[in-house]
Amino acid sequence: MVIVEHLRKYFGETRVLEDVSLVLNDGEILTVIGMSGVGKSVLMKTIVGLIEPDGGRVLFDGVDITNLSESEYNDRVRSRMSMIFQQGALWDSMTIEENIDLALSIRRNLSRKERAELIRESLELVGLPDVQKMYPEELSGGMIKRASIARAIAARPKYLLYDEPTTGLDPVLAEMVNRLIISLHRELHTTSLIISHDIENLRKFSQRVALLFDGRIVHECAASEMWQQSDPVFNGFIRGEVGILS
Amino acid sequence: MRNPVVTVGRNAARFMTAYGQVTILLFQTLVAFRKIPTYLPQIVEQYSNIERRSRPLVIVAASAMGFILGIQIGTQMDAATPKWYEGGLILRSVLLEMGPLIMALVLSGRVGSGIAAELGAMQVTEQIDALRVMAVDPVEFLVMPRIVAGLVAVPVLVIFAELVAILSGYVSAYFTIHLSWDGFMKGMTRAFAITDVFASLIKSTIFGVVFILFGCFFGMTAKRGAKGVGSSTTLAFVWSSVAILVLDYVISAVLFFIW
Repeated sequence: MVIVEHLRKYFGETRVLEDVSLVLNDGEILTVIGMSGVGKSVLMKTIVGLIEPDGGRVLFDGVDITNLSESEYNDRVRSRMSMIFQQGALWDSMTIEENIDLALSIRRNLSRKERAELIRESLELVGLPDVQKMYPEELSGGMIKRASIARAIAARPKYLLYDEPTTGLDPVLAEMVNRLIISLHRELHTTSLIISHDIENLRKFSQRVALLFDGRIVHECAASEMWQQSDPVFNGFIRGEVGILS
Repeated sequence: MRNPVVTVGRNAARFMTAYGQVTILLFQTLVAFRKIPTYLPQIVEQYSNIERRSRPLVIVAASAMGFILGIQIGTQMDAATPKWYEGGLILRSVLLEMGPLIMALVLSGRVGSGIAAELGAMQVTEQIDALRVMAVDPVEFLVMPRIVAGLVAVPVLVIFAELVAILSGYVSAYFTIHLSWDGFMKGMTRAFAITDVFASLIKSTIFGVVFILFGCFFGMTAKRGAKGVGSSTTLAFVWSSVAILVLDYVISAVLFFIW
């Protein structure tokens, strides 16, 4: 379980996160929605230790990880948590196989043969069995997203964080990635935190939804009930009402 | 209108902060040296990037340097000065100053800026964040292999450049003042001091670390998309050039007093 308590982050004079509190329960898929630039990626990067918060704390399986050193973060958190970046962030000087192998070899003490097997399995899970020797530049946008998911799941992490996994994809590819998220959740029993703008399809792949607005989580609900909520800001956001800006 | 005192103060603070951060990066890199066996393939790849791919540029730059030295020294010598002096003057000019300094500035443009552009592109496309998330230390994976490769490749390139420059210098002296090969060798033999070779190696090693470190630093701190990457390559070249020129004076002065 990941618990975020009163998280605060400023960049200079700019307030991004004011008082964010959130719980990610074991085994669930929680989606954080919110307007562009509201701090969703900052929240995710703070959880995974890429950004240091100015206040508040993050509890990871009961342990406060807010002030861990980089090596402690690697040992305690990143060995069990992976993140899928918005643009894939595959290392473009390496083949897909080398990308996954590097991510795997550092985090798990496995033989070359065992790693090769996990790489093959991970690529099959995302439906890309034949791209091992290809470079990221040779792949389409959708394939890059799936290859980056394969890299993230190779070490079989308990937690998966997706930063806008379907942004920039056409509806067919977006649907493919959404289905992939669900199948990974079922097959690998992962706990997932997703940042998404795909409001229409959100209830297909998510169990719970939280709206980040004005530096805070202002509303949470079950994804299946998101269209029946009475909260005016939440309703305004998911229905695309410009009025909530004021 | 901005207060000039505030502007100077802010820029001085930025300057000191950046140098402090570069120093921290240097120490982190030294600590990462313990991982050399793990990242040996990356070191070999970087050696190839730095040494092999720089050879054509180094040959052109060193040849030009040798030809210019041959002409300038030859035409400055009066009739009373023995022609064979030119061999020694070219040798010492190349070993002590022109070789390490000019090559460091040339390589700073090719290698240092290239590193800044590559790492800058990685930074703005979140590839460096991805390394950290996957528990890969970016200093161990990106900076240390480049520094280790540069520690070997830059002195090798500079010694190679110096040989090219000396030979070009001889060709130039032959056509300028009709200096014979025997005369050129006599001048070089009389002027040669092994400490000059050490000075050249010391300078080239330090300069190599400087431009690779600045390249890595400005690349890894690149911001705001394509403009940020472009700016990081410019900053890497400018800062490393200034540092190399200042260090050249400091090292020359120290070596002069030691030897």
